[in-house]
Amino acid sequence: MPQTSAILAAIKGRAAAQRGKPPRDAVDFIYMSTDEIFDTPFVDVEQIQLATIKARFEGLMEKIGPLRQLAAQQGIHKIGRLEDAAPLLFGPKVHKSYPLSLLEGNHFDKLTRWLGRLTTHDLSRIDVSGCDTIDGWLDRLEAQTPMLVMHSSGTSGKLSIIPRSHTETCHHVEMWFKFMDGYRREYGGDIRALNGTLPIFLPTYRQGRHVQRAMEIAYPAICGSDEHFICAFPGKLSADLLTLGGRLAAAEAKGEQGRLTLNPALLEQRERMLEFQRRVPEFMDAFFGKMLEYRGRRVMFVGTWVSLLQATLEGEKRGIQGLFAADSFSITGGGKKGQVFPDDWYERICRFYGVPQMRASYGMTEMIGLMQECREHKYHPWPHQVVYLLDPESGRLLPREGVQRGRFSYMDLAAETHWGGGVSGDAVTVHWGRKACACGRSGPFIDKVERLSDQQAGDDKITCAGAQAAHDAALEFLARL
Amino acid sequence: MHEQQQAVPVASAGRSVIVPLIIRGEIIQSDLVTFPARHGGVTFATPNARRYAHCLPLANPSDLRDYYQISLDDILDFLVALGARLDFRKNPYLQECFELSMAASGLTESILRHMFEKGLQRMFRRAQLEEIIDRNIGREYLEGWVRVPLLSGALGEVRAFGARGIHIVPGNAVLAAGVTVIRCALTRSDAIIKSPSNDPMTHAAVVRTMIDMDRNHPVTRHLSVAYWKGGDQDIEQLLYQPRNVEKIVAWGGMNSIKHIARYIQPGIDLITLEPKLSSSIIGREAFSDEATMRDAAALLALDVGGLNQEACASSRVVYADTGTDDVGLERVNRFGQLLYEAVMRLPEQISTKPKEFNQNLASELDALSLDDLYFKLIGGLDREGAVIVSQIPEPVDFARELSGRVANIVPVDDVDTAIRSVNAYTQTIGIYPDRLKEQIRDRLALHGAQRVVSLGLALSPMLSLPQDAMEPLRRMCRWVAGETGRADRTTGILAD
Repeated sequence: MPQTSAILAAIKGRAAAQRGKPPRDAVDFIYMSTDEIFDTPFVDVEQIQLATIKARFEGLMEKIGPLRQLAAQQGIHKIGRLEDAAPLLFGPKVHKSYPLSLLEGNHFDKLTRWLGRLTTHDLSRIDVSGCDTIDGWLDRLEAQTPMLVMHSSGTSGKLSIIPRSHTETCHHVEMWFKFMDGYRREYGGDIRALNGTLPIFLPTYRQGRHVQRAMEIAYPAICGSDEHFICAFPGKLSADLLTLGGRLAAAEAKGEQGRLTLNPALLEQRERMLEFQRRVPEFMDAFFGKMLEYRGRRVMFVGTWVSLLQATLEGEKRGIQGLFAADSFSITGGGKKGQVFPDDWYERICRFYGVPQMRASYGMTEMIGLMQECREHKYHPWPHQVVYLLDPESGRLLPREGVQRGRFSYMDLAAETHWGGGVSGDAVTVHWGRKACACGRSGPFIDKVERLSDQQAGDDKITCAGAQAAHDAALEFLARL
Repeated sequence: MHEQQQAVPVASAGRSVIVPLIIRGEIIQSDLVTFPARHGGVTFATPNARRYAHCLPLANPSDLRDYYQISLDDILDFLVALGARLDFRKNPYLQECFELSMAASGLTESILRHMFEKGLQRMFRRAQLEEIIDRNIGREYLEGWVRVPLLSGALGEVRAFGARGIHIVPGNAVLAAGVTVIRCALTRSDAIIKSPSNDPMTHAAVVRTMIDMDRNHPVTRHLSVAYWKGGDQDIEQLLYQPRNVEKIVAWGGMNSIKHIARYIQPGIDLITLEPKLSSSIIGREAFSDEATMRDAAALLALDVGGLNQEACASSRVVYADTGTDDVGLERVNRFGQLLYEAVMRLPEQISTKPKEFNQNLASELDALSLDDLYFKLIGGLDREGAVIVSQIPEPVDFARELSGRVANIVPVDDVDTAIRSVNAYTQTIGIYPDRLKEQIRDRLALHGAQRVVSLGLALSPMLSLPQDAMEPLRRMCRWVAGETGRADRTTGILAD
């Protein structure tokens, strides 16, 4: 990844420049310490949020057609209060409103045109001739522009494409470092202070434009070298593979016409992908074996609760406890995905990994930064994440006061070259009250996160576990062809 | 679809409408449990079908004899008299059922009212019933053994007998209640009707009306109506046995068909009236001038907006042979506007602003409304219905979800593209003009189309013709064959 060192250098420079200065834009908070961020009175945070929303709205209106159209539909010309931006949040389909047929016909010029309307970067001169896969197209795009795209897991067969660029990626990577640093030493610490000595365990692909995007840039600052960046699968998560199942189903639905037009480049990957699938158990064994090699060391390990529990059960079978050093770092979260967890699952996971406690997170691919779970088991939005709570039925904005439950929606102010307003598929409870969380952080906090019903939330699950499911489904499809 | 919610004892559930369980002329209203209806947040109470499941099947097949002691004309007389009693103004059961339907159905009041007031009775006209018999089976096969001389020298004999069946009926159209009752009566079948949660009462209302007329009439005695939660294994494992039923007639969504398919074994014949999607093809001639375009748009509006697009024959994707160059796109966009206006103008007894709007579809429309690069959205933001005009020769990726009066018009350079999009899930295709229909209908049929009609006729009643590319009435019968002759005077495999 050629931009890695440039991004790490840019982050360092930005943090140095911010030191000792008050935040003016909401992204400035990203480069402050966790303690400074959550010690800022929330009234001040809100003022900066408002000023930033105004600036983003005015700045992006001109260049981003869909935002302009939405503002016109809603009759919004200026923003006076944070609430005014609520009707301007993009719905869950905006980043996937391109026709799938463009992929089958290798019309990547048209796809570029579609994406170009969602970013301030000029994509009109990109040469995409000869591209025949999504991965190839995105590689080309990123080679010729500052774009660093992310995509969803595409469980519906269609990826949301989030038009991030260098600017947002800096914020994104910094937020991964920041996540590890709990408020007032609540947990974790500054991983960069360890000078690249912290091995990383990531139970997925090493490269890709999904969950691994930040880590593949951040890793030199955490573990120092390739050797200690230990991933379960070699190579890159393929966007083409994630969408394969859905694309085959869509082709089927179109009758003979669909079958005739399925992209041959996709089908050519079939053997390679099937070979990969055959080797998955072998890869997972090797990954587990690697963890044992690092026994007793201080590491960083990443995984959903589901994947951590799987490893724990395997470890228990082999009689292993206290795998890593007690001051290791963990990044986890996600729901239980319909699986049955034993009552003492949390204690068992901690016992196996050898850590006294683990903090969950709440976030989504579309929004930069994972919220930290505090010791009171509440999630705390960062200042660049303006929370909006909508009535799941009517879409009406719920008041920013008291305790409210609704559909989690957000304005991600870390998005500077695209519009960061979005609506999630989750129902959450937000505590807006004047009373701060007992953990000491200022500002509203969130708990009781649940998926809205599939009917309401749409079908694209934006989770790490979702990516794996989409992958498995795609491979199953391939095997049947 | 399976209803997810569990039944709860009625005592704890407050007031609900009571949907009776009807077993062969007996009305049961005790042992109530409540269920949620599919729409509207209402509940209804009905006797716990688990307690009565063992009484539902016709255990002794000989008990169908009473049906053979009366003539087909006696059956027709009874149905015609029933039709007279299904007068919405006077029939309290239908009135009660209308109240529940208004809450439980996905259809709006004016459409439901029209169905109850006009549609149901119309089906029971004598001429209509005669046509159903003549076009589907033939009176003589239902009335006795039909002699068929054979080359072998033997005399063949054929008779269509009724069978014992379970009917899993649809709830998206009230008129289905009439269809099931008529089909069962004309074929002298014994039927257990499983009501749907979005229309739990109409079948029961019709059968109650029969009970008032003559509780002991064979037609009444061979219709039972029950509601249980689709997928309730305690009930279904007991009923779906060859010793209890010979036929399962299942209308319904993909999930419900897949679920029922588990019970199929030798001795049970599954007749599926599956979920289907329908489309339209508009030939080049339609775009020759504004008046013709308006005419086609008005006809298409009936197929798209009629019954609020809740029927499987409702058109969703419309292929328009306008060409895809700039002139073609201008034409197709104009046609989209005309279609939108025509749908909005439909009379309220056949189409209204939908009661509910699929939220996922709403999100798709919202996204399209922000960018007309590849799809132009006309209307939709008020969830009143919409027309999506593709600016490329492709339907939207969510074409299967189109509902609530939302059509997608796809411009094509030739009708071949439209023909090749037809597959096994296609039901009706409405075509304009008729000359084009004649040209392409054979190819459409080969690709999987099940019904090819003039534009505007997609929602006409399908009682007298094949349905879903087969003949449900014939399949509901057991076609028993016989031969008369002497072995030594006929030619055959054994005697020659």
